[in-house]
Amino acid sequence: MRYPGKVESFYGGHSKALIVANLKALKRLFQGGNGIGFDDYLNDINAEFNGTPLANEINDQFDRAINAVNAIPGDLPQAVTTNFTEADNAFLQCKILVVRLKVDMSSQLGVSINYADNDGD
Amino acid sequence: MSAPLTQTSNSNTSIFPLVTFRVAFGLMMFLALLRFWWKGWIHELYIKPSFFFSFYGFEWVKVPTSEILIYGIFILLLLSAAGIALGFLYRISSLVFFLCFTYVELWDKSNYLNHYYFVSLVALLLCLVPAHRLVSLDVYFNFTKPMSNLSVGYIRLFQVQMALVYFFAGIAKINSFWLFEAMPLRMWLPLHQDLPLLGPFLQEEWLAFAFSWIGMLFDTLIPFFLFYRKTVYPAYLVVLIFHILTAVLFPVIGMFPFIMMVCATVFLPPSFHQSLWKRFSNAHQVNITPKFPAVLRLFAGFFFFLQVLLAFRYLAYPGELFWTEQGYRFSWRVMLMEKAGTCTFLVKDQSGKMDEINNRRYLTMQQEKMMATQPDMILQFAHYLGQEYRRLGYQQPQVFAESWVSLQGRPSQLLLDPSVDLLTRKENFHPKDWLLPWKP
Repeated sequence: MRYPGKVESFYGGHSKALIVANLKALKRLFQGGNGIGFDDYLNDINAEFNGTPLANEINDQFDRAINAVNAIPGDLPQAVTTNFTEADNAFLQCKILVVRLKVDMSSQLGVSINYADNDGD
Repeated sequence: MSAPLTQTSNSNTSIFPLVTFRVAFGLMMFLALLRFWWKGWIHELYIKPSFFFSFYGFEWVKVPTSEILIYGIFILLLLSAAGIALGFLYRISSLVFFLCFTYVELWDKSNYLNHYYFVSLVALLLCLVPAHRLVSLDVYFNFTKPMSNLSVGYIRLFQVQMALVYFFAGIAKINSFWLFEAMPLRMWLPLHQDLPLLGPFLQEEWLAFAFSWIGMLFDTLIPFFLFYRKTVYPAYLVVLIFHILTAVLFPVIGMFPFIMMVCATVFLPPSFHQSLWKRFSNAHQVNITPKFPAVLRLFAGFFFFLQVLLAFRYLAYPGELFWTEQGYRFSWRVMLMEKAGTCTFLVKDQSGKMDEINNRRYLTMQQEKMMATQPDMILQFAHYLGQEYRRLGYQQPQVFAESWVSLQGRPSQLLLDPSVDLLTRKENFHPKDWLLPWKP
C-alpha cells in the first residue's frame, strides 16, 4: 500500500525542491560552508570508510541522495504510485545518508551523544 | 589487630572497617540519589517514557503509574541511605534500601549500569552484617548493644565483592580490541586534548596503548595487592590515582570512580579505621564477638559463585560478544566498546497496510539510542509495536527492524536480518538466530 498523501508539501507541489534544498543545506553544514566543517575534522582524525576517507564517502552520499531525488520524474506524490523504483531509490539513498551521519560519523567523532545527560559506563 | 588472609572467617577483628564502609556507603548513596533527583533524572528516566524495557524474567516489575509513588520511592531511598550512614534502624534501613534500589534498577534496562548492579549487590551484603554495632544511632539510643570486635568474615564479604569487580573488569579487558588496537581508548582519549598537562599527549597513539595495558593490569592485579597487608597502602594510593584519572577523562561514568575509591577503604587495616573513629571508640569497648554463621558462609559461597557464573555466561553463546551482547550485562564490562547505531522499524499487515515507525513517538532519545545497538531491546520494542498496531487495527501484523551499527569504529553494518518478522521470535536464553554475524 502506498501513501502519496504523506509527502511533504502535498498541496503546494514543492516536495522534491524542498527535499533537495534540505539535503543541500545539510551538506553545507557538513562542509562548514567555506570554513572548517565536520569533513575537516573527520579528515584530521583520519576517519576511514572501507579504505576511503569517510568525509569523501559522506560527501558522495550527499550527492547520490540529491541526484536520486532529482531523478524522480514528475512530482513526488505521483511518482510514489507511478515511478516507484525512482522514488524508492531516493528514499534508500537518504536512508544511507542518515546511517553515515548518525552512526559512522558520530562513532568516529567519539562523541557520546548523551541526550539525557545520564551516566554511562 | 591486622587480619592476614590466612585467618579463618571466625577469627576476630575490629568492627571499624565495617563502620567506615557503612557510613561512607550510606553517605555516598545519599548524595548520589540527591544528584540523581537534582539532575531531573527521575522525571527524565521514569516519568517521561511511555514504554519501559524490562529485564528478561522480571517483566512483572512495573514502573508505578503514579508520579507521587515514584517520588515516594526515591524519598524512601534517601531516608534509608541516611539510615545506613547514621546507623539508625539499620536493619530496616539496609533492607529498604536494597529492595527499593533494586526495584528501581529493574524498571528499565536502558538505564543499566554496572555500578548500579554493584550497589545492589553491596546493599544486599549490608543487610546481612552487623555494621551498626558501633558509631551508630542504634547504639546511641540503646536499640542494640555496642560491639567493638567481630568475625573477620564480615569484612571479607566486602573485600571479596570489591576484588571480584576489579578482577572481572580486568580480564574483560583481555581482548584483541583493547590490547592490540587500543580500542576504544584510541578514539576516546583525543577528545580531551584541552585538558591541562595531559591534554597534548592524548592524541598520541602510544598513550592509548599504554592506558589500555595499564588499565588491564591495574584491574586484574589490584585485588591481590589490596589483600596483601604489606602492599595495601601503596595499592590504595594507586586506586585513588587510577579512579581520579578515569573521573577526569570520562566524566560520563558519573559516580563510579567515587564509589570505588570509597568502598576500597575496606581493604585498609583496622588500625587505619580505628584512628579514623578515635573520637567515638573510647566509649564502647565491649567484647562480644559473634561467630560468622555457617548459613552466611553458605550464602556467600552461592552469592559469589552466581556472580562468576553470570560473568562467564557469554561463553555459552556463539559470535562476537560485543556485537550480539548475549551475556554482556552483569559481567563488569566497562568502557570496552564504542558502539553506535540507528534502528528503523517497519510494521506490515496481511491487507498490505504498512507503517515506518518514528521511534521517538514511543521512546525517549536515551532509550532509542540504547536500543539501537542491543538486540534484546530491539526484540522487546518490536513486540510492543506488534501489540500497538494490533490495537490500531492491523491484522496479524509483522514487525521488521533494520539496524545499522558501527562497532569499534568499523563501518556500519546490519545488526540483524531485516527480513525476519521479529514477532516470530521470542526472548529466551537461546542464541538469537536472527542476528547477522559481525564482519570485522
